[in-house]
Amino acid sequence: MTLRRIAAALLFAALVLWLGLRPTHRHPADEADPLLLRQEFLAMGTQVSVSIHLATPKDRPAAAKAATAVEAFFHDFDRSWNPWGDGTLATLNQTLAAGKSIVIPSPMRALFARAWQIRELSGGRFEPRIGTLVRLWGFDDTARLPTAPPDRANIDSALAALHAAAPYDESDRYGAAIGVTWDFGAIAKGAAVDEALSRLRVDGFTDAIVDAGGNLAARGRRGERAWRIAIRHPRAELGQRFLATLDVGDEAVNTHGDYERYFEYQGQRYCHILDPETGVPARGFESVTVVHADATLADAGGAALFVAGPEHWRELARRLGLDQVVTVDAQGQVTATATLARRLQLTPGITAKIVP
Amino acid sequence: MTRADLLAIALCAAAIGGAFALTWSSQAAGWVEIRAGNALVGRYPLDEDRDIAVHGRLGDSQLRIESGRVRFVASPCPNKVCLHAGWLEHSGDTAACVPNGVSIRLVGTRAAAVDAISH
Repeated sequence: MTLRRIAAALLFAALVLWLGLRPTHRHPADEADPLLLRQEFLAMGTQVSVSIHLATPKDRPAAAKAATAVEAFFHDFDRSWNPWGDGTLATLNQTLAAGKSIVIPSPMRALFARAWQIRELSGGRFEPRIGTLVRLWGFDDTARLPTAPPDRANIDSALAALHAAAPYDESDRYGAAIGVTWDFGAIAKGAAVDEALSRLRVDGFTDAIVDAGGNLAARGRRGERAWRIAIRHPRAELGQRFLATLDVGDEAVNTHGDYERYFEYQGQRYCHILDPETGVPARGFESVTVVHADATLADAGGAALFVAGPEHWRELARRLGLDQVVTVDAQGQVTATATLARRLQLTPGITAKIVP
Repeated sequence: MTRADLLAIALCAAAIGGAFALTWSSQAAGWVEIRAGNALVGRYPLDEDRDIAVHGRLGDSQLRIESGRVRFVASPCPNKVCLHAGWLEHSGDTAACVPNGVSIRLVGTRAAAVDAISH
């Protein structure tokens, strides 16, 4: 009898040990997931990653090839659209600076037109001709940050040139417009992400994420589950790393924040997002996140909302057709649109004001 | 209650306690993968505190692993965006020093995993 009891106890103990020690089925580490391919590289002044969920492990070499092609595309795109340097846009800008008009090459016309349309819809809060101001502030250099604001007189003359310049008529010509520098910094990453995902789809990879420095979009799913995205808390150093997480489908999640590219001068924070109206960094928000099917619109539209500030962003978002937005203002108040709030999983301890 | 009952209870209690202890200690806190110039140059567990120097284009980026988290603590870059990235603890989280060509990504951590972070 006693023996039987001890045997039963030992069996039970073995069962408990087995339950405790068997491998857990939490999300496996990426490298342990035979159906996930992830490739990372530095491009467009940021860390880019391409994640592809494979239908079968046999697809891995083809996926790696497709991801490598995306990397090459990013480098080409970066060179073409860099406002400075020796690429196509830089050459156009040099021509403008020399007081001549430019002919926009046909492959670039679509993004010129798209950027201009968003500029018009945003009432100039997003401005693709802001390059002179960006350089004046020193935010054009991805490797270094300024230490002090530029002289007010220089800001004023850059603004005057911008105001005096003719609008773009979406044709193949622009200018002459001395003092105007086209700069697609607030739209190019979104456009690149959209294009990269289209290319992956052509190569047969319909489940993917392309992430250009947190400026990301997804397609399809990660196998049995949706792709899961976190939104960084703009003041992560004070506590929670993430503001919220959400599951996404064929969508972009784009955040503009004041916490990565900024400098402080006399106790004041100057972030890299310039208000084209005032010529100085936008204030009022710590971050603005936009969820939208179109990564290009999410990028440029998000920049416009950041500039619009806590007072005016909601109205502008309606005009831009952005109904999924979460913002954190300078007081740390989190505000989300009702449409986005329904699907956001806020980090415990964070509450959001919901606006219609 | 017989002596055998007591023995059985003691064995069960020990097994449960042992299983929990072993489970928590054998479940790694995750790793940080370090890349320099796009090549994987290191992979360190997050449950051992340490400082790591990663050689990049401009010099050494200093990383610190502490209490299951990791961050850039010093960098030869002029803009310090990597330092602004702060502490990372979730699988899928990343930070980079673009000027120095050094990037990090967390894998297999205890904190909830995500596929990408919008920042």
